[in-house]
Amino acid sequence: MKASMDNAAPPPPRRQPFLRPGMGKLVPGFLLFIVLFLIPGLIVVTYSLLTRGTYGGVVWHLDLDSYARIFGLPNEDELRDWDFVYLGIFAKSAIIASATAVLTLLAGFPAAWYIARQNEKRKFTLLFLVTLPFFANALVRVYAWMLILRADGLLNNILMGLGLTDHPLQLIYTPAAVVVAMMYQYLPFMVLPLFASIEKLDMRLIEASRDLGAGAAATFRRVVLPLSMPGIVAGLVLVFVPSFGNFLAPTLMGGAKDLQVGPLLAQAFLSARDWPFGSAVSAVLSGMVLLCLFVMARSERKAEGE
Amino acid sequence: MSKPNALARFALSTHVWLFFLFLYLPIAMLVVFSFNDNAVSMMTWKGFTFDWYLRVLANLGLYTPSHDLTGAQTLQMYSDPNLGPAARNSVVIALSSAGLATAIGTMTALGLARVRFPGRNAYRTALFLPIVIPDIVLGISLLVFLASINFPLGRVSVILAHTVFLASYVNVIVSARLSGMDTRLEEASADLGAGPWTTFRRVTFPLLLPGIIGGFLLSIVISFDDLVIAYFTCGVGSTTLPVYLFGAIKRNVSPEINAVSVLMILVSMLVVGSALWLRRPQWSRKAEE
Repeated sequence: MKASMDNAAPPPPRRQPFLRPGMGKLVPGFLLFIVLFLIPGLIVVTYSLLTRGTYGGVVWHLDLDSYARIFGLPNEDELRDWDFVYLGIFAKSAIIASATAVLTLLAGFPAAWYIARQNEKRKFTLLFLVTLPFFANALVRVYAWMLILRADGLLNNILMGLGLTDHPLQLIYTPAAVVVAMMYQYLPFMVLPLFASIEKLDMRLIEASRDLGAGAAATFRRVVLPLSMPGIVAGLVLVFVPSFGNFLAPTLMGGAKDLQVGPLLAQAFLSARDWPFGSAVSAVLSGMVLLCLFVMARSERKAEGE
Repeated sequence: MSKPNALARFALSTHVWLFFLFLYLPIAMLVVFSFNDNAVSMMTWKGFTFDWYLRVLANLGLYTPSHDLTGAQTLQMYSDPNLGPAARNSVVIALSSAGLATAIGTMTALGLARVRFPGRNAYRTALFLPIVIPDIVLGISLLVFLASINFPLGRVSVILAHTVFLASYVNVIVSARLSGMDTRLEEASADLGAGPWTTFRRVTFPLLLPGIIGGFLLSIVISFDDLVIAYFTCGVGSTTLPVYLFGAIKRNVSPEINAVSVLMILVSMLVVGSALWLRRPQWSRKAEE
């Protein structure tokens, strides 16, 4: 197994001790990772298996009820019937995050295509312009969209000024508002991998396809799409993942009825003080995120192998 | 043949124009309306004023108003003593966590590149986790951990929380720089009689420096921008600027928050702009010479 992991390395001349010169540099980072990442993660997983204390905190009594609640299973001891409210929250978050990812792809693909066809200098400038707003504070970018979509916001002011409507439309506090705010947040995550894929695409293949009589649609479907698939998959995952667990956009722009996973998680810890349940939500969310990233990594490896 | 082509090209460039408008209009709008002299309805344009900025400066203790600012009667009500401490907390936290993360991340990258040990690739992959895990999960697990060891929430806890994932970012950036580096330069230095420390100081470090500075600047921006992790780990007394702004936006108190937002964008853009400039590709440097 070791040979497969380090196959670029020359074969070690003899068995080396586990601790080697130069490994001291790794100690601070390793300690940081263990103490402030791994242990907190394991504590959350442990808490998710415990019982909630009467005044917050946890009681050391092992049970899987937090997970049962997420998946809507009934519990006779707690007089609880089938109840899919939390599964519904997960499903709604997944739908909103998927819509965000797909719309970001539709907006980003032509832009990435255009950028990839420019000369080196323009490529760099345009990619710089795509990335730059991303570094404006995330909260401020959501706030900008609140100012646009509020009842007394810019868009309603414009629509009413033009006489298109006589009363402010309900734009904010809707799933669509959350989708727009998250698209705005994560567009670079889509454009950059798309650009990387499209740039590698050999234009002569497109010409060949057209010369052989394929129409534009057929060429796109049979040549462009398959060849840019690694970028599309990466972009979709990179937008879906942070949108799915997003806290900011749904908290500030989502409707009160449309609770999403991120705000649910914050509520469980900050207001309900139900740590085992919050920990279980957190564990399920992390599991889903890691699964998505695993799928992405596999599809990338497959594309490289071909 | 040429007609549909021209049409397609027109559609594409229109799309790209709209795309960049979508990216920049919201920020431009925020900047414009931060100068709006309307204390009652902040999205209805009334006139131009610098007063919201002057008021922010006054709240930061950098300026004493010499004339009545917009909404002067209500200035007392809006004047916010929390802004100054929040700004100071953010700066202290961003600089310390970025400094710590740069040192730790660079050492990790060097260790991973130069030493082979079992499980190296697994560790390298694991170091991506703090970047990819949702920030709210990271914030909550740190909150649970700190609470269970009775660690007081404050500046120190936020600095530690930020250092964890910033070190991973720095590791990625410096590793990329290291993998593009010619190892023969280090070998040549050793062959010419330089010790390991001299080689590091005179050869490796100068070559890595753009990556290290880039990682440091990026870390400052990410820490300065972070709301979610600070929200869970800062406690009551050490509110950072984004946490303060989050509260202000929810209460929607005053157009002053527009000015604060624009100033925050300005700080982030300046730092990131200089980081990207340091990492600009070779052609632009050649063009300058």
